[in-house]
Amino acid sequence: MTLDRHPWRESPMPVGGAPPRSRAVGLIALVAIALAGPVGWLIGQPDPALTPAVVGWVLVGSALGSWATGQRITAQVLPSPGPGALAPTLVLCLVSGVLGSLGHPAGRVVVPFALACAVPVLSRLGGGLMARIAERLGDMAAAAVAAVTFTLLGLAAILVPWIVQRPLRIDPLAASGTWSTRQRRGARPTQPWTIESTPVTSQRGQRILRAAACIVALLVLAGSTPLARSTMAAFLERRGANPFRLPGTDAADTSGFEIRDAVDPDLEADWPDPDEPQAAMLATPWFYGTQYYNTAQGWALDPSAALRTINPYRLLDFQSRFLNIVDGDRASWTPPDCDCERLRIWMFGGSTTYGLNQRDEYTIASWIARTAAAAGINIDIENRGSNGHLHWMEAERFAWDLTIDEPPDMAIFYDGVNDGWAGANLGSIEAARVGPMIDPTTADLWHSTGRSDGDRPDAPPGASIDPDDDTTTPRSDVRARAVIERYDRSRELSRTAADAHDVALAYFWQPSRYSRPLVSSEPHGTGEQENAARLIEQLMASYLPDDVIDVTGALDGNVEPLFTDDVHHNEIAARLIAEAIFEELEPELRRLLDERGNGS
Amino acid sequence: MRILGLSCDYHDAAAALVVDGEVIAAAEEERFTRVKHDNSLPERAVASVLAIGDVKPDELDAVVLHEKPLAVFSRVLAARQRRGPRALGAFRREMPILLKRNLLIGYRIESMLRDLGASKPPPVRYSEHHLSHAAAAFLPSPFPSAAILTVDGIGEWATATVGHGVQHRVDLLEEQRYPNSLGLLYTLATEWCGFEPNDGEYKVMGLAPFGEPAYADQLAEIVELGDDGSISVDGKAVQWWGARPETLKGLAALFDGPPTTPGSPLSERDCNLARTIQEFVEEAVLRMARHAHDLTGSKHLCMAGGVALNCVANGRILREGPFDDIWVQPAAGDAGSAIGAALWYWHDEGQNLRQRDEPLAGALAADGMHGGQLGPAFGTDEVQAWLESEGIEHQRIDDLDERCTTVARHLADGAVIGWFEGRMEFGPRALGHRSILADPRSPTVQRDINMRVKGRESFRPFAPAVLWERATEWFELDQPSPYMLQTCQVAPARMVAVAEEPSDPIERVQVVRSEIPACTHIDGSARVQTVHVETNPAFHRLIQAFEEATGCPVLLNTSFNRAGQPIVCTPDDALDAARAAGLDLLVIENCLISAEELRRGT
Repeated sequence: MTLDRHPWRESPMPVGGAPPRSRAVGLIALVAIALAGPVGWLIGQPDPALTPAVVGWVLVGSALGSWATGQRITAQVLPSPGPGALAPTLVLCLVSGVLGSLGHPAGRVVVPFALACAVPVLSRLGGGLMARIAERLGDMAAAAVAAVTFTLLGLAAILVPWIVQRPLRIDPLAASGTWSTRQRRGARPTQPWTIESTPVTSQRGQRILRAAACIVALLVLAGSTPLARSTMAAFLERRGANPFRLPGTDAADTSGFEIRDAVDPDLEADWPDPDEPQAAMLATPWFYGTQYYNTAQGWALDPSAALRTINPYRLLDFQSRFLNIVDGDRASWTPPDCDCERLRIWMFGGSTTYGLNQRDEYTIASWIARTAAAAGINIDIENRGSNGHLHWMEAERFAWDLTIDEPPDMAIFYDGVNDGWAGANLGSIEAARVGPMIDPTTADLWHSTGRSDGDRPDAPPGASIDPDDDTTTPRSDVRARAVIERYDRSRELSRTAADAHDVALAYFWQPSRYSRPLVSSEPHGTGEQENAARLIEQLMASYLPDDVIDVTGALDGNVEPLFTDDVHHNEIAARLIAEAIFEELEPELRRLLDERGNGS
Repeated sequence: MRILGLSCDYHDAAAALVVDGEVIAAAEEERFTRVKHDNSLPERAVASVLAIGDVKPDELDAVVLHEKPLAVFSRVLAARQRRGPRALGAFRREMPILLKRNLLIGYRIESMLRDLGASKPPPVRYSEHHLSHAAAAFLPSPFPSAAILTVDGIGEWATATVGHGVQHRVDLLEEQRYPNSLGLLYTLATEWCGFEPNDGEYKVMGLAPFGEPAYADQLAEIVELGDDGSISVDGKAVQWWGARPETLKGLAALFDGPPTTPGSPLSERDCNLARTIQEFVEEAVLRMARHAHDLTGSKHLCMAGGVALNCVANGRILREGPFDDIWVQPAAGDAGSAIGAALWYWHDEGQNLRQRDEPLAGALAADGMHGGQLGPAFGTDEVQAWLESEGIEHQRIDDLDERCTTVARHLADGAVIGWFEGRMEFGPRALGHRSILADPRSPTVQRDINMRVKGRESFRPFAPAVLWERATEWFELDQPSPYMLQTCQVAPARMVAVAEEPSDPIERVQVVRSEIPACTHIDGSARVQTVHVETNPAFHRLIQAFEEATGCPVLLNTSFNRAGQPIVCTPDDALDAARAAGLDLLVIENCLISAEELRRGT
C-alpha cells in the first residue's frame, strides 16, 4: 500500500514513457524529417511519372514515423518497434533527407531511408542492444557537438571581452567596498533581469574606460566582418566556386605569346562583395535604389522561376518598372509611331544582348534603335538575347522563330564570350563535352544551376563512364582556334536559315573586360589569371572569319569602370557598343531602306 | 488570489503557496526527492503545496520566481570574463546548464505546471533575490515596521542589503555587491575547514568555540570591515569566480596550509580558523545591524539570507544591538525566498495590506509562518492502515496525555525516540514535528546520538527544546525563540563547576557543564527552542509530561534524519530513518513502534 491519497508523494508523470504531448511532437518531427528529403528529391526529378512514387513515399514515411514513435497510427498491424528505434530512425531519415535535398543520386538517398525502415525491426532483436548503442552514440555525438559549440561560444563571450578589457584594466566585477545606494525601487516582476545592470560606481574614469572599451569592441567587430568575408572568399576560391572566375584560366599556358595590355603578374585579385554596390553601377541609383531593379533582375535570372518548362529559349513574361519580359523576350526601345519606312531587326545573343544590369530601354538593342533613330533610320528591334546562349543555340532559336513569324529585315548575332567560355570548358579538344549551357557569371545562376553541375548519376549496371579527370588543357592558341572553328561551324546553321528566308545577316564579336586595359576599380583576378584571359580573348579575335565584325575595341579609350564582372557591363558601355555596331550596320540598313523604297 | 512562489537552481529548491496574502503551505524539494539541498525545479514540492491548499494548477493567478535569472546569467558571464582564458573549460561545461537553467526557466516552469495538469499555466513573474529574502523576512514578521537586513552568499549581484519595511511595503535602500560577500567568505572558510560548502556552515559555527581567533590578522589582509558593516574583499586572493580553493596559494600561506581534506580529523588550525571567521561574521553582522538602525530608525529588525541562520550572530544582535526585538525568517536560506517572492508579489503588485494584527495569547508574537508547520501531514487512521499493510506491529494511543506520558517515560529511561507529528516543518530546523528526542540530562547521549544515531561529527552540539513558561529558569533568555534561531547562555543556576578543562577537543565535549550537558556547548551556550502551547500543543504536552516524570522541562531536539540526508517527510521515510539510526522508539502520529519492531525490519 502507498499513501496515495497524498498527491505529493507520487509523481504525476505517467510511468513508462514520455507524456503523450512529447510523443506527439516527436511523431510530427520525425514524419516531417522523414519525408522532407525524399520528397524534395523526387520532386526535383524531371519525370512526372514519379508522382506516384512521391505519394508512395509519403505513405511509407508516415507509417515509418508513426511506427518508430510507437503511435502506429497507420500501421496497426505491425508489431511495436523495439527500444531505441526512434533515435537511429530519426538520424537515418535526416541523412536521407539532407542527401536528397542536396541532389545526391537516388542510391545515396534510398539506402539510409531503407535502413531507417529496417531499424524498428532490428531494434526488436538483441535484447535492447540497439538502444544501448544508439544511446551511447547519441551521447557521444551530443557531447562532441556541445563541446565544439560552447568552445566557440566561449571564445566570443569570454575571450574577446577579456582581451579588450585587460589592456584597459577594466574589471567586470569591480565593485565598491561600501554600501551602494540602490538606484532602482520596485523592480518590475515581469522582467527576468534587473533594471540596473552596471555593478560599478559611476566614476568619470570608469565611464571613459567603458566608452573606450565599447569603441574598441566595435572596431574589433567591424574588422572581423571583412576578415570573415575574405576568409570565406579564399575558401570559395579554393573550392573553385567563385562565380566571377573565368573558367579554365588558371592552367592556361601563356608562354611564348605577346599579350596586349598585359597586367602586372603580381596583381592581387579583387573580387567584389556581392552585397556591395559595384563601381560600374555607382552612378545608377535605380539599380540599388528603391525601384529594386537588382531584385527584379535576380528573379528574372533564376532558371527555376524565369525559364519556361522544357523551353530554354523563351523566358516567362514578367513585369517590373525597368525590366519586362514580353512574349518571352526582353522589351526594347522603339521609335515613335510614324508614317515612314521601318525596318524589323531581330537581335540574338547571350546575357549581354539580353541586357544584364541595364534597363529595358538602355540595352544594346535599344541603343542601336536609338542611335539609328537619331540618324533618321527607324528600326523596330526585338531583343531575343537569352542568358548563356552560344551561337548554335541562337541559330536554332532563329530557325524556330522563322517558322512561326514573318522573317525580319535583318538578324544581328552578337556573340563572343559565351562561345569562348564554352570552348574553354571543353577540356580535351577531342572530347565532345560541352561546358555549362548557361552563363555562369552571376551568383544566382551559379547556385541555381549547381544541381546540373553536381555529381553525375551512377552508371547503369554493366556500363561504365569516363572518369572526370581525363581532360587536358590545350595551349591557348589551340583552344582559341577551336572555339572559333566551332563558332564558325555553328554559323552555317544561322546562315542556312537566313538564306532560306532572305534575311540579311550581321555577325559581331563582342568586347569584354579583357579586351581593354585593366581598370583597377572593376573586379579582377590575379595578374596571372588576367593575362591568361586576355591572351585567349586576343587570340580568338585574331582568328575571326572576315565576315564577323570585331567590335572588341568599342570601349577603347574609356577608362571609367564599366564592367561588373568579366563581361557584363552598365548602360554606358551598352551605348558605346551600340554606336560601334550601328556604325558598321548603317550602310546596310540604308541599303535595305532603299530597297524597300524601291519596292523590291 | 493564489500565488505560487518558487526557489530553485542554486540550492534548497522550494515551493510556497500564498492565498490572499496568507502562507498556506511551503516545502523544500529535498524532502520529497531525498536529495539533500536538492536544487532542481521543485515539481514534487509544488504538487504538495497545491494539494495542501486544495488549489489546482489552473487556479493559480501567478507564479513568482525568487530571482531574476537573466541578471544571474550576466553576473556569471562577467565572472568568467574576469577569469579569462582559464575559464573557457568551465564555461564550456556549465553553459549548457546555465542556458537551460536561467534562460529557459519560464518554459521549464510552464512545462512543470502542464505536467501537473495545468491547461493554461499562469504567468511567470520574477522577484529579485534579495528582495525575496527581504520580503520573507519582513512580511511574515509580527512587526508593523522594521529595518530589514539580508545577508547571503550572492543573489543577482547583491550579497547583502539593508531595507525598510512599513506595513505592506518593502524597500531596499542599500546593498553590497559581488564579489564583496560575507556569505561567500564564510563558505570559503567552511571549505577550508574540510566541510561541504553550502551545507557545513553550521558545523563551522559549532566548531568555533573550540578554537581561538588566531587568524584575525591574516583575515584582515584579504577582507576589510567597515564601521557600517560593509566589507571589501580582495578579489585576487579569494578568486571565487572560478578557482578551486586548493589552488589559492596565497590563502594557504595565510592560513597555515591548504584546505583540510574532507573527512580527515579536525585540527587546531581548523578550530582556530572557524573561531576567526565566526567572530568576523558576528562583528560584521552586528555592524550591519547598527547601520540598518541608523538608516531606518526602526526599533525592530527582520533578517533573512543564509547568514541569518547563524544563530550565534543573531544572539549577539539581540543582546548587543540597537533593536528592541528581532525576527529571523525560520527558513532564512534560499528555500524561504519562495515564500518571500510570493508574498512580495501579493503585496507589491496588488497593493494589498497585511492582515495580521492580532497577537497570539501569551508572549509569542503572531507571525505569518504558523510555527514553521507548512508542510504535509498524515492522519492517524491513514498511518495505521499503512502500518498494518506493511505488517508493522504498533501500539495506537489516541489520548494525547496518555501518549505523551508513555513516551516521556521512555525518554526518562534513556530512550532516543523519533517523533513524527503534524505538519512537516519548513526550513532547516526540526521544531518538534520531525524530530529525534532524548533526555538532555544524560552525559553520554550527545556523543551517542552524534556517532551512533546520526553518524556525524562528535563535536556537534544539540539544541534544547524548553517549555516557554520555564525558559527563563533554565536559560538566560527573556524573549521567545520558537524557531531555534538564536543562542543564549544556560542559566548560571543550572551550570555546574568544571574542575579541569581538558585540552583535547573531543574530551572537552564530554565534560559535564550543566544539568543538561547534552544541550550545553563547551562555552555554556545553547541554541534554544522555546515551545509554546499555542503553536505546538502536542510537543508542548510531551515536554510537560517529561517534566512531570523528571522535573526537567527540557528535551534534546534534533532533526529526524541521518548525516547527509534530508529531514524525513513521510511515515515511510521516518520508518527507514528510525531503523537506520537504531532508535529506541518511533512515534508516528498516535502510533508507537517499539525498538524490537524496528530492529525486526532491518
